[in-house]
Amino acid sequence: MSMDGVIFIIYLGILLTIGLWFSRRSSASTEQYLLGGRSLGPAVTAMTMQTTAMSGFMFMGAPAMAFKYGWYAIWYAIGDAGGSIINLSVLGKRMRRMSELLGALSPIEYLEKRFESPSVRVVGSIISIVFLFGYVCAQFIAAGKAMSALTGFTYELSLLIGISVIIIYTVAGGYLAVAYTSFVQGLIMVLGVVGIGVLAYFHIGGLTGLNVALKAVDPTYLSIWGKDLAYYGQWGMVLGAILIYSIGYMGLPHVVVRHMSMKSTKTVKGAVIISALWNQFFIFVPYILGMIGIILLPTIADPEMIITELAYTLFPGIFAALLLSAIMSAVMSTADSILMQAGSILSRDVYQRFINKDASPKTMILVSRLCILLGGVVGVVVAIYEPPSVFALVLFAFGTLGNAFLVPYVASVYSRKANYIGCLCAMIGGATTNIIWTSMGLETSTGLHPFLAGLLVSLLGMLIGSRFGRKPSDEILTAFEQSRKKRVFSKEFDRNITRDLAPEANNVSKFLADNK
Amino acid sequence: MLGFPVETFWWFVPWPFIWVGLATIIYFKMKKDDELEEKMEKDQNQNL
Repeated sequence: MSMDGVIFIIYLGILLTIGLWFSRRSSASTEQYLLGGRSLGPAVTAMTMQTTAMSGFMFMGAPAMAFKYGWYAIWYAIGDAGGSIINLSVLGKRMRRMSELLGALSPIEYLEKRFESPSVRVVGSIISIVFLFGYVCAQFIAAGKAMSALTGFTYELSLLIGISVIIIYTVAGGYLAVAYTSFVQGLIMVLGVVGIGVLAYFHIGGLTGLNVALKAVDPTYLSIWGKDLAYYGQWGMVLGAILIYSIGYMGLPHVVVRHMSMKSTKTVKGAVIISALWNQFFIFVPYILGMIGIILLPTIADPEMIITELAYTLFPGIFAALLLSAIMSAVMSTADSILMQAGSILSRDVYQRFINKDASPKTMILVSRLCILLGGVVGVVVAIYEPPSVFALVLFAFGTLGNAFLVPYVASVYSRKANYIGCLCAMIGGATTNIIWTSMGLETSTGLHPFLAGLLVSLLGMLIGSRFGRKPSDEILTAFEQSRKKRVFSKEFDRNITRDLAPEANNVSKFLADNK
Repeated sequence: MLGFPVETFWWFVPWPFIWVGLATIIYFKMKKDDELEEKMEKDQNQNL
């Protein structure tokens, strides 16, 4: 095996060690295994949130998209670069408080407790399991492709080795292992991608050199509307492209759970700034590398392999190994979080809720581990026999999950009136619209991005649905108010008291002036 | 400007700066909120 292969194997060994290190701590209780005992600080929260969100898509799907559309693909990056800021500042504190008040350990359980209906949990579990599974399959395919390029092993063998490592440390170490390996992976991702970005940048003559070369191939690559002006004037497509990754994260169960596992609400501010800086360094580079691929690798058969090809073409040796470790990091940090989440949902939201209500913490952890193992094995089989493109699968699964859960999570902490009927309408309406829009190719005829269409339907579903059915109980309304707490008195109260006291204050001033 | 058409430049280039600026504002706003909360908690504990 070459030197770069050896480096990569060492890297996998480190990840396994972290998993096994946390395996003893994680078995202490269900909360410890599923949420790491709500103990994560700002740096780990920021990194685990971002590396979970930035999947194999960033190294494979994003360059392929830029290779296809040119600068138009940057609309997706713009939304992505601000996603964590929006996600943390909108949901962060309130969801951390609310989930603790409700005693929820999984994001789907949280929805059931907030909206007070088991039907929410059933529908939420079905949607999340199906689409998280699609999402994890995309990660497995990316892992197989990257590792095969690095080691020279066959795609199938690479898939088996890479995924086995992920499954072992996730099953053994639980949430803490996933979070702390994400931290290491996040550092490697930035190092790898910024390293190759800087080298490729100077190789091509900077942004000016890239743009001049792109213009010579086809000037429409430089347009904001895509190659051949494919989306000219379609602001519905542009808005959807920005929104899917800027607000879409608030609908992903495996990302939302990061809010629930923070040490305290004070963790949010540090996480916002760390993730924002990390994003600006990391997110734009893979897209730019995709465009560099148009110039340096115009005949590449699989555009999803642009970064891998560039690594070996321009920078062979140890540096290429670092980059490929970064790709695997991105894949693994997302796949482990999704597997962890799917395991939590199946064990807590399906097994404990509907099959064995009196399951002991030990049984729960065992069931969760078995579910992760099963999900991983089925995912590997699907990835071997039916490998679709990472790019298409991620966009579809991400969009559908975002459309199903974004509105319910936001409404859960911002709307007093939001109830279970609204939540069900938002989940079913949003997911169905995205599926129909994508499968029937309605974006071409309507000029509306599937994510935007799903978001509008989901929002309408919540607004209209919440007018029917029973209202949230007093307990939920109390928890809702407590989750908002910052000021002892509400702004309205402050305003009213100022107005009420104004005449009194005037009289006092007058009295004092008269008696001077 | 960096070889971009004017329209592309102004739509794309400012965003990283906008996001970092926004994150900084949110950071200081949350810091202020946290300090206020801490103060209120302290006052409440003293009153108890």
